[in-house]
Amino acid sequence: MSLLDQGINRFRDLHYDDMDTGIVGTAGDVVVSTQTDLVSPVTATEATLIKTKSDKSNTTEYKLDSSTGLDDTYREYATYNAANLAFNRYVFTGIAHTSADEIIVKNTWFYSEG
Amino acid sequence: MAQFDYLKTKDQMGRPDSTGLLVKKVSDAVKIDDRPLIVERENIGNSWIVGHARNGLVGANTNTIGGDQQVVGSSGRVNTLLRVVNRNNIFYERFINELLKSTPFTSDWDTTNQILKMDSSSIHTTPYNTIATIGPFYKNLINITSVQIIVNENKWNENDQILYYVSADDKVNFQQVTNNTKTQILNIGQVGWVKIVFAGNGGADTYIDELKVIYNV
Repeated sequence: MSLLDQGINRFRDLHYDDMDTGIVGTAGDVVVSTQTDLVSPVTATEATLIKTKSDKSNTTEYKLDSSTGLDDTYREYATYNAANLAFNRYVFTGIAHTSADEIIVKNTWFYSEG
Repeated sequence: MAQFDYLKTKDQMGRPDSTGLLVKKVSDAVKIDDRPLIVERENIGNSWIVGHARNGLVGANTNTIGGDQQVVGSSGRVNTLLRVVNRNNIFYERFINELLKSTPFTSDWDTTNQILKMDSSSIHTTPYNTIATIGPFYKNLINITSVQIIVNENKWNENDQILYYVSADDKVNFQQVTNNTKTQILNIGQVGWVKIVFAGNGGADTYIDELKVIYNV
């Protein structure tokens, strides 16, 4: 072991600062690591992330409000930086979104010695 | 003197030194893990929301979603956990936050040290019998058929017990599983939970520092 905790936390900080927004999409295609974006993003759903930092971890929270992106069924989510680079992509069984609700997506990021 | 003799011997061999100092290359890598992803639905109830087609109206209003008078704030909001998914169907809990801490719970979820302890007390004359409920580690409308739990255990005393139970049917039925052994689910379901039972005198010195659940759907 040679990485120090403060070194790992430096990577956490850089990533924390870079993560910017979340977007949901409607495609449930299997995730492939070579993908560069959501398969069917709904761009209107882009929202700034609420970020929380703790030792060797970050938590992001995305909220799709009750006036945006209505009447779609969402099956994918991705985290982006300000230059629209997607860090990850997740798929799940479809979730309908109406004006009666908000959709919240929470993602925990953990940084450790590999 | 021994070194001198050695050097002299090398010189006598009459060829350049082709050997060098070997330094083992240390590979540093930072591993990034983004699991789990949790999706929730929050019903807005009668909250007054600027710009909302129905919950943004001011004055006499019988047209709210709840059919009641609108209230500024968070009246009538209900939060529902919809999905918990993990990349490659592998869940990690590192006790960084309490997003998936659930009930019943009597052990000690220590986010400062990022461990799950038998108890917060370090007194070892007291016998402890505590429980931790974690989850759901999976919820996605597709059945779980098998699980394998992998845990790093740290025991104050070898007689301390840490027992593991898994439910795939949303805590209706739990079955005991063995650390690092793949187990077929007896009561198949779509919402996975882990229950951990601690017994012994270890208290704060008996703990786990990472929970990994590999599951098949």
